[in-house]
Amino acid sequence: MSIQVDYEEGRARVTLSGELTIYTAAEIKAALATTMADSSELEVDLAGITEIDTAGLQLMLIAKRNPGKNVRFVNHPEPVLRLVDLANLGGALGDPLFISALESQGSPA
Amino acid sequence: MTDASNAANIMAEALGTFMEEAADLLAQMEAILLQAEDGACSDDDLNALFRCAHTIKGSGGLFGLDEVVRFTHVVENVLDRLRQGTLHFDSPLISLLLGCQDHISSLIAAVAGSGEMDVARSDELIGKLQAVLGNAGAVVAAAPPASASDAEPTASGGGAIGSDHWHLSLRFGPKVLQDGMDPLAFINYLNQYGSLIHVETISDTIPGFADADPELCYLGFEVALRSSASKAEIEGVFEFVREEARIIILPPQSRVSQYLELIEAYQGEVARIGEILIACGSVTANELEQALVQQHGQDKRARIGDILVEHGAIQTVVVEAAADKQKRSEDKRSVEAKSVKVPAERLDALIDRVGELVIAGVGTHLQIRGINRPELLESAELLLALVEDIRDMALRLRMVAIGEVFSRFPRVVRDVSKELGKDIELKITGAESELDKSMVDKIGDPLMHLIRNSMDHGIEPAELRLARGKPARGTVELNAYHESGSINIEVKDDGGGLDRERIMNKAIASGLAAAEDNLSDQDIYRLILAPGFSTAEKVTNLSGRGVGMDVVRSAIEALRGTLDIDSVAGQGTTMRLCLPLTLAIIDGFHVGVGNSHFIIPLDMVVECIELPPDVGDMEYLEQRNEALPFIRLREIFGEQGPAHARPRVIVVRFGRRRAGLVVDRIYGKCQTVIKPLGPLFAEVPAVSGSTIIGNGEVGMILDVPALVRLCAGAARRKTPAMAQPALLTH
Amino acid sequence: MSKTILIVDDSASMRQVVSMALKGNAYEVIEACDGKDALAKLSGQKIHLVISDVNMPNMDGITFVREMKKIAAYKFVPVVMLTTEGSDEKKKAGQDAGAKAWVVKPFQPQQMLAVVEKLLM
Repeated sequence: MSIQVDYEEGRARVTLSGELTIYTAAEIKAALATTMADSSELEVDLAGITEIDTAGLQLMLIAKRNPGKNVRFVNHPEPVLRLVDLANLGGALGDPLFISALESQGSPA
Repeated sequence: MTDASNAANIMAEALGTFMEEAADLLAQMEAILLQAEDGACSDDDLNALFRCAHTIKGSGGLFGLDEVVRFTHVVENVLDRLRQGTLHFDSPLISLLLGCQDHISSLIAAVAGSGEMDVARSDELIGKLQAVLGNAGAVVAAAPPASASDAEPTASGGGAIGSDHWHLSLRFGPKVLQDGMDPLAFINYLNQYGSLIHVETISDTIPGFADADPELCYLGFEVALRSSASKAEIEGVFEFVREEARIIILPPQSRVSQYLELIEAYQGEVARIGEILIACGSVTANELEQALVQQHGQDKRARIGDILVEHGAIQTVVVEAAADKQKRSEDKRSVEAKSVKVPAERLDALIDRVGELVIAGVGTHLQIRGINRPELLESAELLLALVEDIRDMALRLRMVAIGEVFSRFPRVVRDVSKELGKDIELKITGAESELDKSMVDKIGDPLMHLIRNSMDHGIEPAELRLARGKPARGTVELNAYHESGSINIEVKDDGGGLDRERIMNKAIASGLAAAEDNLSDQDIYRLILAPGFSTAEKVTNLSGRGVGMDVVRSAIEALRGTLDIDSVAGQGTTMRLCLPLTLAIIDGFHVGVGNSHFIIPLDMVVECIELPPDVGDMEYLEQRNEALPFIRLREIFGEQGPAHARPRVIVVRFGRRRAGLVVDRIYGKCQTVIKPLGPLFAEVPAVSGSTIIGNGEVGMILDVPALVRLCAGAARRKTPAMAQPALLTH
Repeated sequence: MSKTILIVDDSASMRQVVSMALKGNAYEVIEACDGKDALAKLSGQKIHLVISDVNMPNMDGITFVREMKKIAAYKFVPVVMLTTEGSDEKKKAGQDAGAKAWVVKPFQPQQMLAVVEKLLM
């Protein structure tokens, strides 16, 4: 797992790669907390995430619960989209998602 | 309140989408029902039919279209039975369902403001549908799930009956994640027992960012599951986490009162639990309200009403999620659009016509440019741009992935490796790169030869490889990629590289080159493509006879391509094939000689210069201290028409060779559809095709490689004393 | 991405049966014959799930799980314990050590597969 933070014009871009799971949740949360101390606009790039579990998904929700800090997740890779879809959290997370090819496996509702 | 009006806007917009979607679904429903009347109804159709009603019900619920939901719910039940095969179509049933479809349609129309909701009609149809369901139930004993005991009537109230799916309410222990248990993995596993109708993640209980411990589980889930599994089986999914979790499983057709208990249990914790149950389709808003009235009397009604509609913000989230999902499924639908099979000749005819359209467009444009009418010119330019777009699109219709050709090579490499007793691996990249179908058909053989050549001559025997510190297993890479309007295909090996000395010696021995020739590496490498050339000291039955590579060269020339060879001694050889993407249309350079028109493929034109007056009879001219051989097209084609006092030289390039073509006039760039040559032209040398040019006359497309060779031959014959390094081909 | 499962059991046939069922479903499998062997085979690589017997020579399953969970990289690995007797005391000790899933021997390979699929998405 790696966390990279770049700042540009007061915005922070956090690039995560590897696992977003119970194993890395604490570390990623700590990194987000540090970043939030410096910047109130965070864009978290998930493109490099290879594995995600409930803890990872929950961390995405937790990250959104810091009033005054605007956290946006971008570039959701397939494993993340799959879980967001399963948990039906696309709307609650409020980030633009790409079309999920897995939609068809979900409910017809 | 901006938030509220925003929410209302989103709602209104999404409702519009729902209307359109419902209209589509109802049309689909009608089509399937009509088909069923003819007795042709597949399982897919039945599933689709069910989904129509299901989707209308599910989405309708989001918009509070209670009457639509109430009615469609019953229709859905009937369609579900049909889908499961416990009920079968007959003519009265089809008529009834068509009537229902009309009724749903009118209910939705009423939402849009045209007409009244005819509740009486709903009840009448529901009565008929229930009669059908009742009959089916009588015939099929096992309609209710095995664990029917769980659905035993419990106490008073809540006479209405909930949906036909399981409802699971899951709250896990805080340490579940640390124990390595993944709640969503369990939910995902439920798919094994049926289909997840709806999952609602309860995240209200997550504390603020600062207080949240990311290793604790705060999430809860409300799950609607359609399944024929038993309660024990479903419970079994959660057996490892049950002890620390609160897991409530409501079987299908549970009493609404049971849902109410669920609501009561969570109300403090999750304000929108009622809404979630409705979103899950587990109960309808109507059912819930009615039950509540019965159970608790009028005063409570206000409260549950609050639960259902309060918190505009929360509702916004739900609607956004729905709108998002709807958008995504629409996008997906367009991705799923089926492909259409078209006979190749029709495509070819289309492309041919489009090509002529481009030419006519260019011609018109030229003429309009001649008259001073800016407004006319502007529209002509727009027209031309559109026509060119159409041409590009038409050409794209014929594009196919090169992987079609590549797919046969793994087998070839495997077989040839065995034959040669070498261990060789083939790596393929860029198989998705596209090029014209007609090219795909023609590059298979040349590529095969290149690959065989690499395996045979390139890759060394294992002992030698090991001695050179390379892995015993050799690698041949096949790589395709697009580059500035062309496709490059590389055949790359990690073998010994080409042996410059040996090639040179062999070429001298076979009279292909002279010892004093000062050839560049490229030129020497290219000698291996010459007819009758072979360096393999041990002639194998694969490629040792120098036959294959000559075939490669002529095939590539026929495709207007080039072949570059790079080689590093001891490290390997890369043969790079560069081909145009299509053969149908080229960008050309239009020139005139006498009364005739000629087209030179633009990518072969280097520059235009004036023919120096002092060249006399010489067959070459000096350009930047290099000898440039040239030929007069007038002579080649026996042209008699008026000549130009100051002829021009078009410098062309083919591969690494350059030559000059002397012409009378230069008209400039043009786009050209290549038409195959008729038998009439069979005798004409150095012409590869014909075309119609803008003014309607026929133009000849010059075969530049042939002209360059002709030129080189002529130069060598006439100037034997001059070493013309770049011209030595064979 | 294929997931890696560590099977710890002193019975070679037991390991073989489970291993075959898992490999047939595209899981990577590492086998160890007791707790000590298993600890040695962890060696830093990613393990998605552990299936461990309780009674084994050298180091029993419960001790193994307790030791493994001390290593950061394996702190949250789900553990499926295989047990023959329904000893609640053992089970309690195992759960305290962090092994929440228990499967009673004998079981069908398919049952084990179902358990694994329940735990791993």
